[in-house]
Amino acid sequence: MNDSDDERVIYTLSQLGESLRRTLERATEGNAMWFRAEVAQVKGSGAGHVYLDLVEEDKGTKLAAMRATIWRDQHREIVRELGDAASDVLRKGAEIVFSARVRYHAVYGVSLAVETIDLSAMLGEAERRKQATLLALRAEGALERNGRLPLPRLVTRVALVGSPGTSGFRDFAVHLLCNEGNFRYDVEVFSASVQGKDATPSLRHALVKAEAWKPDAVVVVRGGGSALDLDAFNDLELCRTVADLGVPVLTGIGHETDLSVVDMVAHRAFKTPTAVADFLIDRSATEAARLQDALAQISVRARGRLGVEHQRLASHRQFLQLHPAQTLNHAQVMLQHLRERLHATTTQVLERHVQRMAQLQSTLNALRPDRTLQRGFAVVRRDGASVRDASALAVDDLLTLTFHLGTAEARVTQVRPANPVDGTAAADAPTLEPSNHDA
Amino acid sequence: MTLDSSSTPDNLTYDEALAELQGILADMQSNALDIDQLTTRIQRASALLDVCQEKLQRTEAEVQAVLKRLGLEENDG
Repeated sequence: MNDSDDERVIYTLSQLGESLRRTLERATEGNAMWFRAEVAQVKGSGAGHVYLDLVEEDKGTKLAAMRATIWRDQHREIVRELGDAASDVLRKGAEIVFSARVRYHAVYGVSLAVETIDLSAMLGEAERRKQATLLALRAEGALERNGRLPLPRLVTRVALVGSPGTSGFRDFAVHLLCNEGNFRYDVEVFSASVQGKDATPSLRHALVKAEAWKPDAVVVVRGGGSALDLDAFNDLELCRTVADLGVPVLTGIGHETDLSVVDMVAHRAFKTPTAVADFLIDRSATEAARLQDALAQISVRARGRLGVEHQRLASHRQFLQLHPAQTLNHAQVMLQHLRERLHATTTQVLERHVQRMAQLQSTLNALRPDRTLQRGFAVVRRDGASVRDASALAVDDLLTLTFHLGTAEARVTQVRPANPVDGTAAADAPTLEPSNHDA
Repeated sequence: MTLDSSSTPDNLTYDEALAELQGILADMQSNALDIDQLTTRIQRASALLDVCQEKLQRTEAEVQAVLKRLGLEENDG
């Protein structure tokens, strides 16, 4: 120091820097400490180091900012520990919990040398936010709301909400549109950002537009990712939008371990976008099979019914062909029978008449005069008329006597009229000269 | 049978024609028809039978056409 006169002590920047570095080291005792911060920017170096710009914001106002470095070896270690989640953690917009040593460099100023990133602490915070969302939805009775909507048997009009270009989106679209059953779907894309800060408002906006398109179902897809990345899907406002949507929401948010709250509030959740597509295709296949069955049934039943009617008409026709002949035959037989009865009856009647006639004949025979004549009687006639009353005769009347055999002429010599009382001849009744009184 | 048996069979539905036909057949079977009626009844029955047959065949052709169309849709879908 040349300026010995001068009372002032003038330090160089490097002296100040060295002083600050020592002070910092004393304060931190050289130990690593835990911090929470949001990643504002990530840059990699060719040497394999990672440079981060970290910020702390409150409702859009920047409260603090600091640079951080992850040296190559540390970075390798962190990536190994975080596995798949590494890319979600070390990206713009992520809030990370990490351990770091505070460094001061005389040229570059204060920075943090990141040593480890505590995923479980980050997950714990995400889980806490998730449980809060669940609690609120349960209290509102919103958890089952979308699930109660009826899902059409056949879902063909599909509103696809997701980020075109992501693998999950592509998986779903390819799987659904190139299905083996050749089922056709009308898919309309409502693109939304599915991760980062703007994921929630973007998804809500897309869901509302999708609903207005009046689809059979809304499908929300996202490719695979870590549980941390699901944070957007645990957002209360997004979950409310899903719950209140007038269309069934199917999710394929793509994670293995845990469900997001959107999954729980949706109509139905699937593990992957491909699984949603499979579900829709299966549903179509089921309906196609049902239709096929119905088709077969229609054919079988229609043919069966027509067959029955054909048989019925055939049997009626046969009856109609045979029955009249039978009826007429029957009538013929009846007529023949009647004819025979008529004949028989007529014969009987005739026979009865013949018998009667014979009786009459014999009676008549018995009454014939020649029988009387045979017994010795004679018929007396005068002038051809038979004489019944002697009083009609006069003496000398000529009488013809007819006997059983032969005739004779006689002259009345005396007339004795009949006694009026007993009819016997009076004493003066005429007597016949050649008489035959032995009759 | 309350159907007016004098109506033209063509104006009857299949079921009406069939019912009347069956009524006549039943009468014939139970010998409820006298011989004088037989001719007119058989003529009527025969006309009814023709109507039924014609309607059935027409229906069958239409059904075949529909089934064929369904079959085509099946192949397309």
